[in-house]
Amino acid sequence: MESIYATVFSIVINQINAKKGQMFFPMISALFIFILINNLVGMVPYSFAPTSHFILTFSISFTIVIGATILGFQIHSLKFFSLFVPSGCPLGLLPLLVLIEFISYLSRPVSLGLRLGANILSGHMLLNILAGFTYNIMKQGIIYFFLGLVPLLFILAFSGLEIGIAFIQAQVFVVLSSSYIKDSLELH
Amino acid sequence: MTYLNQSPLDQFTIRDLLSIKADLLENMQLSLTNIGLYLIITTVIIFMMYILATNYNIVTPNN
Repeated sequence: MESIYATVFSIVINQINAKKGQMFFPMISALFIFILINNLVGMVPYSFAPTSHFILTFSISFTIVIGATILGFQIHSLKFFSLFVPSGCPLGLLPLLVLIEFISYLSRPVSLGLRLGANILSGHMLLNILAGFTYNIMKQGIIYFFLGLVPLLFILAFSGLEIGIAFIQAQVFVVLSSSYIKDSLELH
Repeated sequence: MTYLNQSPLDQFTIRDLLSIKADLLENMQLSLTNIGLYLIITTVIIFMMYILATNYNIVTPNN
């Protein structure tokens, strides 16, 4: 618990402002622990992974990005639109760049939710396919039973990898959401 | 009943565990699905962890 606290606190300090960013620490911390526990509960056999469903990940990511947008409008009002203009760009390229930045801003929540959901989904599907394959090998006969121990080892290795992915995806989600909050807190 | 693994996507199906057909407004149907059950379970786990982690003087001895 202490190390989770230290990790999330350093993320918040580094990504958002060191002083103003501490306001968002409770939300970011709750988000991290929620995603992490959901990922880890999904790793229990015969269990169910809620974060493998896009309805959950998309609802979290859209909430964060829409909340960050509202926060930006509240602080900067109409100057918030200067987020779409990169600093020091020539005037001729401006319409194109604004369009590109706008599209990339719209794709933020989709990419944020899709990353978490697709990682967990693909990991669980991979484990399921490997397990079905191993089961079909091992039920053939006594020789194939010992032959099937090799893919079983792969399943164990991938399970370890999945636990690592559960931690990494929770951290990536938190880092990106705090950087989005920073974007709307202080424009560039 | 034997478990047959038909498709790798079988594990992601959302099943109704407990559902109420409530004709309060229009045709309302409230149901507890397995994703809802697991979200409740994780919330309970998180609450237990935090209560245990921030428990300074109730369980620990010599304090």
